[in-house]
Amino acid sequence: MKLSNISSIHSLSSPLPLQISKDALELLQTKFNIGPELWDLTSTFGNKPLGAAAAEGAMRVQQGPNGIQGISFLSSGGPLLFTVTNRLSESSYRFTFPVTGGPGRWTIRQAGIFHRQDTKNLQNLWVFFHAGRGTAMEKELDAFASRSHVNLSTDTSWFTLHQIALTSCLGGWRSYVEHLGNKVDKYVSLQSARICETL
Amino acid sequence: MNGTNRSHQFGGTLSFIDGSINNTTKGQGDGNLADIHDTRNRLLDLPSRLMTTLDTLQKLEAVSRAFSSQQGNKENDFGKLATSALYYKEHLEPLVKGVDIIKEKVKDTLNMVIGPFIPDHKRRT
Repeated sequence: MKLSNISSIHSLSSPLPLQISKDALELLQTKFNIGPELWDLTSTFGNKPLGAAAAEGAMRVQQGPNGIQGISFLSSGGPLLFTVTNRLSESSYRFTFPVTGGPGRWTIRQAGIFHRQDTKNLQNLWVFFHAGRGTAMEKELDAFASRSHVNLSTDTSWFTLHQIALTSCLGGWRSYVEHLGNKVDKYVSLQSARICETL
Repeated sequence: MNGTNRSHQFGGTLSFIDGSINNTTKGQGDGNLADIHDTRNRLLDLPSRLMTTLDTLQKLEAVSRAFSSQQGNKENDFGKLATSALYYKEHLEPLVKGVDIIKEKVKDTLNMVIGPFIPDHKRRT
């Protein structure tokens, strides 16, 4: 039997605490035997994204808390090589990304994704931490959950759910950088004009 | 905490952000300078955030390729995700350099407007 557990947990906005209590998070952790990475994923929710944490949150593919060897990470200075050594793998990552609220209005949001995959009995556990109700991520997750996916293959759920994270979190980066670039260019032009006036 | 309070606080946060952005349109002395400082602060951690995201995309691509190669059929969705992760990686990579260029512009302009930062102990009295 193919089974996917999908938990979608959100807060109204990143600057406010994630709407999940410590007890509930512990319950989730205990019930599904998840390691400390669940705390790492959620540690920065509840505050504005901190500059000091800017380098945190990259994807981890790691041993589970019960000694499961998922995927070996063989990096020896060359290309990244992964070898699937067992039937279970766990991965987690956090995106911090710009979201627009209208012309010229941007804010930074966060989303955390945890995924456990059992390639033998085709069971999946997905946990999504994200900011706000009605976000692009929540809508796409709802749409996915509402479809019948009893017969969904493992590779299709892998593609669909990671793809939801990519499309809903990464689409705003280019426009945001362009927005900041335009602001700076306008300021530079203004200052140059002022200096010319004083000469 | 009820929904009304949450909405109120959220609105307050947005107002704060809007306020700093609106300074641009005022175009007046200190407001403008404060705005460019705000932009500079926003730019500071972007390269690290982008690099972290690129790291994730690279790993996601590699893991997906590994799973894809295990599948009997050549066309599978693990491969599709690997292709998608690669697309986003190539989409975001140029932005790291772009942010660096914008940061340099801000630095040069601030030096021009307020002068370079000189520590007190090195200032001539």
